[in-house]
Amino acid sequence: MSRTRTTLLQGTLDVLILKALATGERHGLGVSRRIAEVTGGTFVVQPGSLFPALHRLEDAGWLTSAWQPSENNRRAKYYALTRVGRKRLGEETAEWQRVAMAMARALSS
Amino acid sequence: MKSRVSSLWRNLVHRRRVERDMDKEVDAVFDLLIDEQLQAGKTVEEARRAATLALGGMHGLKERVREARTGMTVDALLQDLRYAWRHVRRSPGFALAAILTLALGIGANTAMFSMLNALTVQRLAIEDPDGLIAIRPTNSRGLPRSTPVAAVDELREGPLEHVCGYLGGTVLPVLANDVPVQTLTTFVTAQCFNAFGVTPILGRAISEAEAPIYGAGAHVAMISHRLWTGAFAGDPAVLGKSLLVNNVSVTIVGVLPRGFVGLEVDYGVDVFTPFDAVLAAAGGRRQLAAAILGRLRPGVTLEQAATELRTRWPAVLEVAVPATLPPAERANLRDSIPRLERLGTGLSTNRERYARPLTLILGLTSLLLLLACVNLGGLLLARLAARSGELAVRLALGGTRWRIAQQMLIESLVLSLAGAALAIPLAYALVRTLASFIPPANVPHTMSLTPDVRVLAATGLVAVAAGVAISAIPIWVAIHRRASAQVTGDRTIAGTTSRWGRALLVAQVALSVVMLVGAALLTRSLYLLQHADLGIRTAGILNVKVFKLPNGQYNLAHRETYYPPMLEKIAALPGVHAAALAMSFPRGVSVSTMAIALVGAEPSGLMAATDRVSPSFFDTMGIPLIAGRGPTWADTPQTRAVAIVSESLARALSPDGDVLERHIRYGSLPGDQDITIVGIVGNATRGDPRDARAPVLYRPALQLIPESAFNPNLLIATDDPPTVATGVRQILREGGHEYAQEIVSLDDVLARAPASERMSASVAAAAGGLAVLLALIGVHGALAYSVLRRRREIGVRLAIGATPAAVAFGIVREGFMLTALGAAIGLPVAFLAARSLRALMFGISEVDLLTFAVVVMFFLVLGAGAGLGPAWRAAVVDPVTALRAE
Repeated sequence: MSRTRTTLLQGTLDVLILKALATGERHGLGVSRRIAEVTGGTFVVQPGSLFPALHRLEDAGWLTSAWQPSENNRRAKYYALTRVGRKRLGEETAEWQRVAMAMARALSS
Repeated sequence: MKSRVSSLWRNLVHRRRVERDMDKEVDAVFDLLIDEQLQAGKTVEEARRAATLALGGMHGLKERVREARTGMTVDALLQDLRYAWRHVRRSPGFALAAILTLALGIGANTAMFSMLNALTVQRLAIEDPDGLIAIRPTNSRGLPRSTPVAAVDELREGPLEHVCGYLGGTVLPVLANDVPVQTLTTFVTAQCFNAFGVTPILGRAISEAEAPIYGAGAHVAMISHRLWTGAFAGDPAVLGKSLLVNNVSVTIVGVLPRGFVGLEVDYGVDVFTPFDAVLAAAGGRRQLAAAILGRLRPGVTLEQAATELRTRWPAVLEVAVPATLPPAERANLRDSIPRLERLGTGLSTNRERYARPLTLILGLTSLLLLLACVNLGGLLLARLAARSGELAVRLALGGTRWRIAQQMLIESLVLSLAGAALAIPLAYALVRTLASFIPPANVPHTMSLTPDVRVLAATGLVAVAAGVAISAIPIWVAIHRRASAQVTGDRTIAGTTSRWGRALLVAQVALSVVMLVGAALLTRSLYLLQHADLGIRTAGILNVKVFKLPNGQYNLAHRETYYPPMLEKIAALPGVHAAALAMSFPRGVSVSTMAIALVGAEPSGLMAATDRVSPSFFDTMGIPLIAGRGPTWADTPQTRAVAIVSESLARALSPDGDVLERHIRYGSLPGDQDITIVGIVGNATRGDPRDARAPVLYRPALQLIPESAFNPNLLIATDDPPTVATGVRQILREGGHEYAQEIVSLDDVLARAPASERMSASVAAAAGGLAVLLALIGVHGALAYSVLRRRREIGVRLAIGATPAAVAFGIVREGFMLTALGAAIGLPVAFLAARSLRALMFGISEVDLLTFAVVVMFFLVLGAGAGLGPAWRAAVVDPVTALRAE
């Protein structure tokens, strides 16, 4: 996986985090790994950006968190989508698709 | 949204729990990373290092997470406030000094804002004050020109509505509820109350029929709220009662609302009557309106109205000026150019007289506040040097520079807002003192000089600006510091901040020198003004202002048979040495002069003031008779017109000063075109020390044209003022025609004259004193910190053999050099600045070398003295403890 450092806007990061949690709850590191996985390595989110974003989204009410035992039997903080968060993910996805289609059309004309 | 609120609550209230949770989370992540690395086969150290690299610095991470959380700003604010409070507690001396200096600086500014606000900005107490328009014409020479009231009729069709005529602020004797009161009377036409937009709280307004444009007005009046509560004790049955105004009985038909006292905001008007009701102008003439008031019709701008009126004006006057007047007078009245203005702030002479010095002083106080901020900025900078270690650690641990800047800003704001809170009562006291310098005239003034909302808001703004200003330089220095440099030796930082601090201090001393020079010049000038040779005796003279009783049935013949015996009776009172009367003496500022010349000679532009005096006048006032004779009671309108001239006038009329039995003409009235000079007296002031050498023409008291009013001033030389005062009142009461409105000593009257000088000098002296105080604090503070910082160096010097005296002397010299440098810079600036004071100087030049020299000496001594405390502390440093402590 090539580690291209493409700068991530805050809104983009938010959507990626929400998507990463769509399939189930994860802890912080797991979210970052999942994002790297689904974007094919294009976006590698450093902890310094990820954790502030996670807390921000939690404060906004789109995520909840809970302490649970992790893979190595250590306790870690797991994040999950709330109902509002899931709705938000749907809205953001639709918006992105709209934008992507418009861009594609513009660039190929 | 709801989630954010609950997050805010959680982040603020359960801070500790949230913090611990975050710690645990980051630790957990760290451990996870280590586990992964170990599983990949690394050693414990390698695993730790890789994990640390991956995480990117725990403290920085925590800081960033903290910042991302909701409620961050509030949280930071609370934290900064806590820090600020802790710093204050740790150094209460500094905090106290800072708050006091800020209180004084902000307080002085607030006081000036208050006065300027009251004088220039405060609106009339009517609805939409800025909508009130006034036409106040001037003649071709720019002097005010009155307008016949008939013009109101012509202007009804025009760009203004509710057009009315207004003549304000005439002093007339009024008897209200059988009590003589000295109030201002205003003449209006009926529409004026619509123009003002006031509705009476009792009764009704004067109607159109009662205040007609043509013909005399009815004998009705409206009174102000304060006259109603004052003279009538708020009696609801006041309607229908009558007032005696200028000896004419008028019926009260309405009471105006509280706070409305006409357009004359200096004193306020209490009685409103129609034109030509209580004052019949001579020769069947009608009264003239000083202003035409109105409001713009909807959709009309001021410019449009002004243009339209300018073109219509000559036609309006053509109709309005009565054809029955002599041609010269008609031409005079038609020489009129209409000027439109908004009258939202009313008419005020105080404004014109005091606006300029007040603005000048506002400049001074702003400068003073700037000084205070400079002072405190310097002190903060010094404290910054002491905290450089703490700041370096914070920066290294990932704290952002903006957080540090924010904290310093909060600290400064806490100080400046505390200072502002203290400043407000201080300002109030200062304003009351300043207002007492505005001399009371015949009527007490009604200006409200307490700080209002606008002023308080301005104060708040100034306080915030001060806080920002104080912290500006320390913040700038702190932010542009490289973190590493701070953690190592503090010698370099101390050096730089010390350089800045010293530069600020020198600037401050320079500014203080300028202010003190200004204050010293003004004070000396005032002193000379107050001790100038007036040419008259001032001690032990009582001045009695006499006014006609409204029902006193005053009759012209009384003059000759009434005043001479009255004066004799007064002179016969026990304790009285002499008594005299004069028509206009003592008069302060604004003496009217008219042209005077020898009969047969060309008018040379010579102007003289005039007065009517009794025979005993010169004797009573101690004015020497140089030649000829004084006035006598035998000089009447039937005998030849005579006059006595002052020495300066005699010399101006003829170089050798020999003008006895020469004829002169004075002014333009027919009776004054051939006057014989029968005496010459010494120069004497008219009441203002600056005019002690002015030319004066004295006429005998009885040689007056019959129609003129005569409200004399009695001047009584006595050693027993209270008893004599009672006696005088008694004599007047027995006479039945007049009453004594005011009995004061002549010294007090004369002291009122240089009122604006007194105010300027007092305020400048206070400001100068404050400036010096601030400079002293600054020098002392800087030296104290210098000693504190260099304890080790001092310890070393003492240890290797320097005497404490030498060390102490070094500190004193340091303070002296700082002050000397500041004085050296301030002196040329003061020379330049003193030019602006030239107009206010009396008796000394604005570059009086003695004053400058004294001020510089003063500063040098002060500078040396400021170092004494720190020098003592330096001398008693114990070398052993000093060396060990660092």
